[in-house]
Amino acid sequence: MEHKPTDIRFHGDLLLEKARQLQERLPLTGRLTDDRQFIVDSFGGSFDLVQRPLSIGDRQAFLFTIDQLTDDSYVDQAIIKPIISYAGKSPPSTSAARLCSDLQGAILTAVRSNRLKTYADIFWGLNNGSVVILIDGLAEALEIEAQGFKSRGVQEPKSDAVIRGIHMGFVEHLTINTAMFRRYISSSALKIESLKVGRYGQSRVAIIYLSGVADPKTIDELKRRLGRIQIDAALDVSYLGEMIRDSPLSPFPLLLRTERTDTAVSAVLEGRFAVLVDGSPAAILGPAFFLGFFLAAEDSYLPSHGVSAIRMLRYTSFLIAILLPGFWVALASVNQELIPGPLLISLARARIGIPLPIMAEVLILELAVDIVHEAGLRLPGQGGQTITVVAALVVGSAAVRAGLVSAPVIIIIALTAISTFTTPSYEMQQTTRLLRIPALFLAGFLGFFGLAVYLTFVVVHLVSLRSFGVSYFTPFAPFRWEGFSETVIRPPRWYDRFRPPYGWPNTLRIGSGSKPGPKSGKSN
Amino acid sequence: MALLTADRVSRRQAAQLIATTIFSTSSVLVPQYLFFQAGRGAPWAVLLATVAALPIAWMLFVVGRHFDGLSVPEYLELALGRYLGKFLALIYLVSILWLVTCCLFQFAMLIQLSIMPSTPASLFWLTGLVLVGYMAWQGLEVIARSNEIIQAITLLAGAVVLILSLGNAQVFWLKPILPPDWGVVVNGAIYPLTFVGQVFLIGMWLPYVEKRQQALKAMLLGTAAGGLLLTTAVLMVLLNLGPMRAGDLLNPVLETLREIHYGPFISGLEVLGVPVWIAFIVIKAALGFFDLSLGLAQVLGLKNYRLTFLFWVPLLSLTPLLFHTILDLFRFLLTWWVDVLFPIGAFMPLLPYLVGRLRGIPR
Repeated sequence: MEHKPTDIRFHGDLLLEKARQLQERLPLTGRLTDDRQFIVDSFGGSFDLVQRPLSIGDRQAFLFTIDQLTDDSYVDQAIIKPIISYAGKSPPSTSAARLCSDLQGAILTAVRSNRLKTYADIFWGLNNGSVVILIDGLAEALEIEAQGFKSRGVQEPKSDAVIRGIHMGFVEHLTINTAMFRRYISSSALKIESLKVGRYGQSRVAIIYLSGVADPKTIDELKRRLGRIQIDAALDVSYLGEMIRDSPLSPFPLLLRTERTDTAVSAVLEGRFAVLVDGSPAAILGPAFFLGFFLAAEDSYLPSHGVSAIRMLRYTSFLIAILLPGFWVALASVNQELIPGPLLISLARARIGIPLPIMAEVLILELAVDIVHEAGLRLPGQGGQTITVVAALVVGSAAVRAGLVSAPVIIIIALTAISTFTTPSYEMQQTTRLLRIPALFLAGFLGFFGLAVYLTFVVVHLVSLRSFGVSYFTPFAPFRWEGFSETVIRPPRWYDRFRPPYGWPNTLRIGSGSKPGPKSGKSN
Repeated sequence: MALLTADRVSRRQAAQLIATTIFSTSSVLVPQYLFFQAGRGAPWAVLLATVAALPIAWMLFVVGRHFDGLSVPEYLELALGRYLGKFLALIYLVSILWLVTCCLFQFAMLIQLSIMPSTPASLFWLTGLVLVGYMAWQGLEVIARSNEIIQAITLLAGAVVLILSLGNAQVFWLKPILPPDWGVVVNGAIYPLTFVGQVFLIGMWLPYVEKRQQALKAMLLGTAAGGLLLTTAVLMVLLNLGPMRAGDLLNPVLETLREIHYGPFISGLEVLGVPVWIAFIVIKAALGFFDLSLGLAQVLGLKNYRLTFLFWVPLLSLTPLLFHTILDLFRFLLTWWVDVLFPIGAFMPLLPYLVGRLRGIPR
């Protein structure tokens, strides 16, 4: 096999890169010039690598940091000034190790510092906003955490806003996000474990759960799945979600993604886990179950009766969104004998002059709605709204007047599209859009029989799914009466005393006697 | 021998599966012949069949407890030796094969007769086979869970239909309450017994029931529930159509649904009944298919029961050649099923039990 010169160069570079990665794992030499040179070479002359020579006592040192990743004023006040003011105060011939201990314990005013042994640790620290100091004669580096990366303020996520309730969402900064958990759950039972994921990105990942409430087996399984991930970088938490979920080929989302703090905290309180990634303003929550994707954050803040009714409406809308176009096609083109006489005549009138078969009509409009939806998402704010209105009013009515589509089909497709968006989860909305296309084709070819077969396939698939050991279609199958209060309806809070019964050990969440009202046996 | 699948079903799910197994096909295939034979005594005949099926359930439990953790082919081999055991296991599987075939034929026929008369039945047959195969592929746990959902919908729809049918009911069809000739009733109970007695399918999957040593109650409850559901359907037919008309019609339950009318809105309820039956039949066929695959895997010593799909799917896709009309199915049921295949399925497990007791197997 003949190699082109560029191939050889590529393979050569690859080998060099592998060698460099291996070298990164080696410990520091303790010779300042060599260690410094290796760091500088590894960054390949990057202009944002900041270096500053220092004298600590009678030893030479070098300070490294990456521009804009650290808080400059903090570095100045907590690191550089104390070191400069220490110059000349140290006794002569102090060992490098002693000097380093003094820096950590007595000289620097910085809060968090660690000792690093390998180049790889140094690179990770620098890239995560730490200051690294090399001291001549010491085979370790001192890392001082001084993150100053600009982060936006905590605000409500645009995609999941509520009228009533908590208006807080995650931001791109991991420690701010974990702090939000601490703010709501002050118990020491809240565990936040950390690990790194990504060969190049080395993103910091946080696993959050409530010890004694979450199932330890689930947490172990989560760690196992996260530990086996080999990826260049996890830019968003969705990257991890796709790699740790069960049944990766299923169209149904098997982990819940949220940008809302209260939703994540509430899930952790129920015994689930949350996974956060530094740089991503979202959490993935698991185990997830099918009906959980139809619960909105606002459900917790509104009176239970209304919420229960709205939930029923959402489930009905989901069925409409999947089945209505197929139902219409089956009724109007295959099983016409099921349409009552007067309705049949009215439909026949509406279709006079329409050249397309019903299925083609529905498919074309379905496609048009999806195009409008996508265009609306991509265009900036006002433009998106404009194109939606133009498409709905102008194109729709023009198509009917031109005799290309019939008015009933416009109604069907509009109702279907609106029903899709009653589902709070964006992932489930996409699944809904996907699911209705096969339903449409099967209904077109086999009528209601095709629709029934398709529905059975979907149900069988749903009951076969699991999310971290929990049946996805619970509480319907396996049937759990207690689970109904979590999903199908929302009972009053004082009644909903137990956590979802999905296998975790500690289920009691509200003590008995929480029902409001005067004490029994006493009159006002 | 190690279990071939990690699936587990609860005792409640087991009872529900038994009830579905009994009610699904019997509600379509039993009433007409039953009324033809037992007339007004039809509900009594079904009740009698239900009572007679309970000892079959008890016997299967006792045998299953004796050979704990083993399915029928496994304990046939254990008690009767390798070659005779395997041979008898294959014969046992043949009775299940016919059961699955009948289910698929019924599935295809029901749809063709009630919804799409101009479409060839083989299309429905093949669609049904794909659906059933998919469920069996997913395993016993998925079948049991699907059954939970379908059964809940069915019971709800069934209750609505039952209440609506009371409007056309003629109470005088029930009189006299006790049948004048018990001989006719006893004779009439034999045919429904071969349906209520299909609880024998559990012989294949009893090892997968959680706490199976205490599964007797679930088995008896499931059998009784299936039999009582069938009795309710027969009563509904009797009250609405009377014994003579019911005995003349091919599908009296469907006809009863067709006759329910409340103004212009509530009519044509067979549209509600047919999907429910179809779903039920699919569950039963899937369970039978699972039993077949598991059984053959055990006979051949395979580690993965899904490998046997390579044999069963082509075989079952050829079986439309066996039945051409619904009359062929009835002819088969009244001869081969009642006289040969049902006794094999229901009573063959007794043979290894007796031999096992005599020879002290398992030790």
